[in-house]
Formats: sequence, structure tokens, C-alpha cells
Amino acid sequence: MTTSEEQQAQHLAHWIDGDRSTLPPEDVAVAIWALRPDFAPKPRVSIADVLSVVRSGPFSSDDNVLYEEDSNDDFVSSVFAQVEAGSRNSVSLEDVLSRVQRGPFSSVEIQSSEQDVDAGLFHGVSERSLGETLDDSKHLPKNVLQDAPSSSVSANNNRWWRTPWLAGGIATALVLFVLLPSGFESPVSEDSIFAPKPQLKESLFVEEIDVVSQKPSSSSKSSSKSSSKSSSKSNSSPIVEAESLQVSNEDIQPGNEEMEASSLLELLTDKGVNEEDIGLDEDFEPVGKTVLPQKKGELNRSTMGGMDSVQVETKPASMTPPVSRSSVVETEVKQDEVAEVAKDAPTSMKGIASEELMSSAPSRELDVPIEEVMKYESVEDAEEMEGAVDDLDESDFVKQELEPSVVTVSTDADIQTTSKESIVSNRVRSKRKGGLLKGKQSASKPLSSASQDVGSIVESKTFATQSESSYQLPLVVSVEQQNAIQTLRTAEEILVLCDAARPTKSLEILWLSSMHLSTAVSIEVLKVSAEYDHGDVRYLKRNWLRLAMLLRRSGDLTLAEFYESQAATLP
Amino acid sequence: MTFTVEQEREMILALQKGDRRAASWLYETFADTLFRKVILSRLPYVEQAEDVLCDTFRIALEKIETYQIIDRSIFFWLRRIAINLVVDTYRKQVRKRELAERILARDAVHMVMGSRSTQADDVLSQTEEEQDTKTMVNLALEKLNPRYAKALRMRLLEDQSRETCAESFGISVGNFDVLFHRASKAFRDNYPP
Repeated sequence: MTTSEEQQAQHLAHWIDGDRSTLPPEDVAVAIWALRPDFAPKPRVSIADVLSVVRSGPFSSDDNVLYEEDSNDDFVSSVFAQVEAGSRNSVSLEDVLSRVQRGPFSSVEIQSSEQDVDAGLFHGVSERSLGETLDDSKHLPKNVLQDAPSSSVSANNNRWWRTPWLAGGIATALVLFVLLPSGFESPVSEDSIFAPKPQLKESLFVEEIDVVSQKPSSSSKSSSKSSSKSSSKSNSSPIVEAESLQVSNEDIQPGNEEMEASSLLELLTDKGVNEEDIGLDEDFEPVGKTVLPQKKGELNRSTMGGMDSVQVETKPASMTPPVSRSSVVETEVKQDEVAEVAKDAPTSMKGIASEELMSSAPSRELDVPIEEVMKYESVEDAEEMEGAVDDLDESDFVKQELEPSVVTVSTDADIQTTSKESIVSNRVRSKRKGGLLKGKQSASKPLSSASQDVGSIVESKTFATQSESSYQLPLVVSVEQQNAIQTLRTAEEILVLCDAARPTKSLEILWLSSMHLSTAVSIEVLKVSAEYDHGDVRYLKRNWLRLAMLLRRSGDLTLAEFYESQAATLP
Repeated sequence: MTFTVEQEREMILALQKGDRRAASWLYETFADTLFRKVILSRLPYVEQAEDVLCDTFRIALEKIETYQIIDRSIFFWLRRIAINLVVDTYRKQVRKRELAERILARDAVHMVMGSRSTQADDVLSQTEEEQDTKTMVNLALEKLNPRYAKALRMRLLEDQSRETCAESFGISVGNFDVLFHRASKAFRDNYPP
């Protein structure tokens, strides 16, 4: 509740009570005019105003007369007479019939049906008019007469196969028929807007980690394609290569799709794929240095160089082998190698297919702690984040972009070990990364159902917006009170703390309590926000948004939309 | 002002002859009701409503010769013109075209169902038109936060004082003022329904 709002509210109250020297502001006047039209001022329009704008009829003034029907002006009369004469319908039935080229009224048919005419079928139609009609056939377009066979039948007039566009169409079809199977691609310069753009595959799962081999003959067609792409990239950005560990989707055996890149890397090493094989340099340094340090449980994913890439954040003593910045891990693994590696994967990693995650799989535990879980992060992201993070201090929370991809690479168990606060406190890039984030959002769409499965932790975009606003709001409740609130478990206990005389604080209490209560109780508690809607509108809006999000999660979409609309009405 | 159907008929005949006194009489009789009950309740923006009012009478006076005297008040003809103009006003605003359609549809129902009143007296007693407005207001209030709706009802429809309302809500008068202010703002976004 701001001072200006209080002043406006007070002014409105006095206006309703009778002090109507000025009109109320337009944003509140609508309600007053609609509910109490008698409060509205008298219309400032007089009958004189109305009469001054009348242009025709008995009340039109002489000055305003533009045209009168009884005008005696000869010139005007003659002009209108000409117009009338010109607009008179001069098309006769004969004219129409003479142009009929098909159907029972085509001229040829009329010729052929003279006998019917003689038989008197057309009583009332004079012989003269029909005779004229037949004579008019001389004036028909030549092609009509030529096309019409002497034996009649007008259907043949429709010779569509003679039309010139057909030939063009056939030619185009032939060209396409020849070119398409050959995979013809017209050369497109890289600068062109039609140049192929890097895109995420529709569903980016862990199984889509591409391992691009440096052994050209051993890879499948697709992997060699991606290999060539990445190698071309490597010329321009060695960091990109250093942090990309790619395993072709086709190279992964069923059942092992969920293997994480870190583990895969370990396994590759165990299986004898040494550093030389995978191209590690001596002067490696942990990728962790290049990747922005992020908080516990933070996972990211993005597109790199047109391929779905996984970025491994290496932590000393926890992730082996460390992947260096300069050493390019572009190992193309043969299909059998990958299968072998996958076979040896730890059992804890087996069977946690992303499909299962998508379909609310039961909790499974990963051996890898959440800190070590791979990050889906492009190097471009990391570089940009490096720049962005310098601008951010610890308390600077920017817009959260919690992507459902978090869910796909971790299990329920992992997530449960991650505190909600740790997710909320994810620091992410600044808004200048909006375009990239948008791309990420679209890429993560298929994973949305998975995010619902672990919905108690992973928040939707709505929550991201809400949490953003929450951090921008100053805390009304003291730290001691916050701690006290966290110990409360029932709605009754929380509502005792609320006070209508301190609505903003009450709203804050409700919001804080909803952060650690179960969804059902949180919904119950947040609904009480309505009783404190005279508090600070920002706090109220935050509560409505959170309530809407919780309702949406619990499946009550109608009510969720209602509270979203309530929030939308607030500034 | 009370007048019978016969008196109204005489007035219309005079209008059709171009009698300016009759025009003045027509305006003074119906303008205020038309403005407050028909136009402003559907287009609650004073300046736009005044434009619609002016255009309504302009069109009526221009076309008065085509008006056929029936056993109903001319008010309904004026009302029809006014609502069409309100709809036109909304249609000009891209975001409010849907609203225009809703107003038109609602009014079409009103036309089909028919109005019970026929005489100008009935119209001017405002019962029917008021009922129509109330329906719209209630529809809009249903979309609001219940406390907002209650505040608007108590303060504007039931004409209760701030103190009474605040007491009913269990909050201070100042807080109620803020609540009412917000309710008024929220109402704007839902009206006309």
C-alpha cells in the first residue's frame, strides 16, 4: 500500500461522499458510472450541438444541404438523369444465354434441342427471342464453337488438359521427382538467412549425448555429419570442442540411454580409451573453470553448434577424468564400443530411461550427487554467464529460468535432496540472454510432463516470475519470525499470526508459510490472502501468482486461471 | 415528466415536419436517461459516451421521416441507435471487438425476449433499463474477488458509509478506502462483461 494509493483511495472516498468538484480518475470511474450512473455528470451535449451536425432530413439547415431531391437545378437534374440512364439494366436474357457455354442452356444444346422447342416445351418464350438467341451463337467466342462437337454435349468444352499451367506443373513435378531423391541441396552461403541454423532436437535427453569420433570410418552417417560440423566449429572456438562430449543417439544401446556423460567418460577411461584416444592434451584444465560456478543442484542445458551437447562440470576428486579446456574431447566411439561401455554401466544408472522419468517414474537414486550431475550448458552460455556473473552479487537475484531439463538428468531422489531454496536461489543469466533462454524454453517443452512429476520442487515458469517478484520485495517479517513460521505445520497455526490491521505483513507470512507447507495446505493458506487484499498490492499479487501456480499443479485449472486473472488485475 | 402515447405521437409528427421545438422536447425528455442508463452503462467513458449521445440524436433527427409510429415509445428506437453506436465505438478498438460482439449479442437477446414496457413513462421510470444494467453489473462483479465485489456492492449499490463497510470487513476506514479503490480498478477490467 503506497502513499499515493492511499491518497487516491481517500480522494475517491470523499468524491463518493459528495465532494464532486472534479471527476474521479478514469480507472476507477468506470465502476462508478456503471454501478451508479446517477453519479455521472450531465452530458455536455446540447440540442443545439446535435442540430448543428444534422446533415439531412427535416432538421438539416440550409447551409448544410448537400443535395435535395426536389432541386430545380437543370444541370444537376441532367447529370443525375445521365447516371440513371447509364445504370439502367441493359442486359437481356438473350445476352446471358449467348454467353452460356456449358450446361443445358449452352448454345449448342439449344441448337440440338430445337425439336423440344417445336414440341412446345417453352411456352411463353417467343420464337423470335429464341431465334435471336440461336443467331447470337455466331457471336460466341470461336473456341466455344470449335470445341463443340457437332453431335452436341457441352461437357467437352471443359478441356482442362489443354491449359498452359498444366504443362508447367508437370515440368515442375518432374524436376522435383528427379532432384528430391538425390538429396539435392542448392548451395547456400553461411551469411544467408536460409543457411541451416543450429537447432535442438525436439527432445533432448541424456541418451542423445553425442560422442563424435575422430575415427572417420567407424561412425555412422549421422555421427560423421555431426563430427564434421563440430570440427568446423572447432576451428573457430576451441572451447566449444573442449567442453563437448557427444555420443551419437544411434550409438547408445537401449536400456542405457540414461547414462550420464560423466559416468560415460569414466567408463570410457576404464575401458581403455586413453587420453590420446580421446585427444586430451597435456595442458588440460578443469572445465569447471570455464563454466560459471553454480549452486547446488543447478543444471543447465543448451544447444551448441547445432548439436545437443552436454557440458561436464568437472570437480576435482569427484569427476574423473577431468576434461580440459584446451583438450578437445571429440571422440568418435564405434557402436560396439559404446554398447560395451554401456553394458558395464553401474546398475544404479540402468533402467532410468528418460521415458520413465517422463512418465512419473518412481524415485531412483543416482550415485552421483547433485553437485556432480552434468550440466547442459553450451560454452556460449558459459562465456556469456561469466560476463554476467561479474555483474551480479550474491543477493542479486534475476529472473529464474528453471528448466524442466533439471528433471531429466536427475532423479526424484536427487531432487528431494535439493532444497527448494537452492533451486529458487539459482542465479541465472541476465535478461540480455532472453533470446537464448527462449530457445531453451522451446527445447525443453517435451520435458514438461517430467517437471510435473517432481512438481513439488521444480517450479514452472509462473513460479519463476513469482519468485522473481518475491525477491524484489522487501522482507516485512523479521528473521526470527521467519524461523518461527517454518516450524508451523497447520493452516490454523499460521493464520493466528496474521492480522487484518497489518495486511502486508500477513500476506508475507502466508507466502512464506506456503514455501514449506504441502501443496494442499499452501493452497488453503494462500487463499486467505483475500482477507488481506488491502495490504501492499505487490505482496498480494505475489500470493495470487503462487496460489495460481499451486492450483495449476494440483490440477484445478479453472481456479488457477481465476487467481491468475486476479493477479493480472493488480499493477 | 409524464406523457401519454398520444402526446408522443403528436410530438413525432411534429418532428417529421421539422419542428425544432419538438426536437428540443425529444432531447430533453430522453437524453439524460439514454446517456446514463443506456450509453454510460455500456461505455463508461464520459467523453465517448457524450459523442455517442450526440450521434444518436443526430441520426434520429436525420432519419425521423423513416420512423414509423407504433404502439411503443420512440425511446426504444433511440436506444437501438445508441447501442449500435456503442458497439461501433468498441469495434474501432481492436482489443475491444470481442466486447462489441458481446454487447450486440446481449442486446439481441433483449430484443428477441421483448420489452414489457411500451410507454415512455415506463422507460423513464427506469425500472427496466436499470434491471438490464444490474444484470451486467452483477455479471462483472461475479468475476471479481469476492471481497472486492462486496466492497463495491456495499458502497455503491447499497450506499453504505465507509465506516459501516470498514466495520463489516473488520479493517480500518483507511484500509477499506484502499480496498474499495482497488475493487474499482479491478471492476474496470471486467466491465462490460
